[in-house]
Amino acid sequence: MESLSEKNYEIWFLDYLDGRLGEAEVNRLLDFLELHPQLKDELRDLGAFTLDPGTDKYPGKEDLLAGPSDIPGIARDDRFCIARMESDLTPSETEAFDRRLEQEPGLDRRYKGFLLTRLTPEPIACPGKKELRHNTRVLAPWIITAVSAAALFILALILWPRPDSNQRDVAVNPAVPAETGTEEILVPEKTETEPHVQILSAAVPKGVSAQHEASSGSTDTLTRDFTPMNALSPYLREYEIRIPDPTKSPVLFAMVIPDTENSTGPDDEYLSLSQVALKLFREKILGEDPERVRETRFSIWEVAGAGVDRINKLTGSEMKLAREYDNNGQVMAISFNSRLFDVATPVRLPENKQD
Amino acid sequence: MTVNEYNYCVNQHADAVYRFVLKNIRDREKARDLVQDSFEKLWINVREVVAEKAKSYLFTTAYHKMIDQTRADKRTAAWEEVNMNRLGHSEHYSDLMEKLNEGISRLPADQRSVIMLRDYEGYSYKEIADITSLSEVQVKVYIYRARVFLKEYIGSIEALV
Repeated sequence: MESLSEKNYEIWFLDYLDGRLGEAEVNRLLDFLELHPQLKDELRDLGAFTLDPGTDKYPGKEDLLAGPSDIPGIARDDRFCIARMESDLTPSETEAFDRRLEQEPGLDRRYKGFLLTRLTPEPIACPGKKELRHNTRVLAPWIITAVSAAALFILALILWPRPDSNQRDVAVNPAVPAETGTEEILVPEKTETEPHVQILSAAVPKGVSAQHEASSGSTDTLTRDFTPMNALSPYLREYEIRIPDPTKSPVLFAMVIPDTENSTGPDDEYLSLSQVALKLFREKILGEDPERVRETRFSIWEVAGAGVDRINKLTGSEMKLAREYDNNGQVMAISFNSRLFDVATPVRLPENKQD
Repeated sequence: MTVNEYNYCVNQHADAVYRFVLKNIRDREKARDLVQDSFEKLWINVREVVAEKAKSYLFTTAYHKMIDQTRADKRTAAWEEVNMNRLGHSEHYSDLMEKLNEGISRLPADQRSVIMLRDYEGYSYKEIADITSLSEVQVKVYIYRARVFLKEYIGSIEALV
């Protein structure tokens, strides 16, 4: 700062009043005033013009702060109006804005104009709403598995070779290898002492049949000794299988099951495997009296029907397994209806068409 | 979501979704198709969508399908060409409602969608942003601008009341 003199003391006086002088400079100014006391009045007059900022506050300062939304092109009052109707204002801002609405009719009209822009739902109904609904259940993987198993089971029932009750003594094995062929063999008539057995299937080498037919009058029998293979073995071992002379019609394979229909049944303490299965089936699945196991035969259709019923209960589906019987009570046809499948197939031709 | 919950969604939200789409694309058949598509998509994903999010899922699906439809059609039919009665509005609208509907039809598509989601369904900015894939700030700006436009369109309150 240049030196203080009678030519520039005004600048020093102003800087002093504005507080821009340092301590050393203030001391120089005071020394200068001691040398020129006539200038003290001039300094006093300059100080008299200094304005006191005071403590007054602007009443609408809050409104001037950044608004609830700083959106270019939208007037500030409009922003506040919209923010008020959208509930974007803080409680204090809302209170201040409501006060303004009371005090400023023009702003109040503006605000009410914005309130009119609020849309109200109109009574428009969606056509075809019923078509959007779904009544089917979501197929969980286990349901799909269960249905698939049931379908396979039913399919197996349809396709599986079944013994013909009218030809109980004649067995046919369709599963014989091609090189051996399939022939029917004659099983001797039952006798009073003969145990009740069914030969479900048997096979003889190709070409043996002619020899057998030529000697069909033969009643030679052969008692085959079975090697115990399963739980039924002790029960089966008591039976003797009587077939024609094996030198003329050797049996390659024969599967024997007990004839529970004609059998008097085992002792009370022991049940065959099939009887145990039937007992459990009636007791656990069908909920019937387990004592019926001694009264009726085990029907595979009951198993299939119970399976379908159980699946219906579990899934809420409406599958139906229906059977059609002939006059002899034999199943002639079955049908399986579900949402996905609708299958009907004959199982056995009517007797008048079998020929 | 269970089948019952899905059917509950049909009963509760089908009208709203249909109204939302119809107001935007102004074509009853296409609106119906879009609603069916939206519910079909919900049904396909019914096991993944929780019931609480189903409504938002429906509106999100309908919105994006609507955008795709609009872009595919490149159709800019003017709302005034559509007779309001043809849209199944059995109610007689006041002058204000008619004016407001006209104003909505003149809004840009984004602004129209967000303000309808806001007023018809009461969605928050965040929810609308999720549905429309816009940012919350964008949603807010669109709503504010739509309100300013609608207010100016329907005129002064003195002229209406």
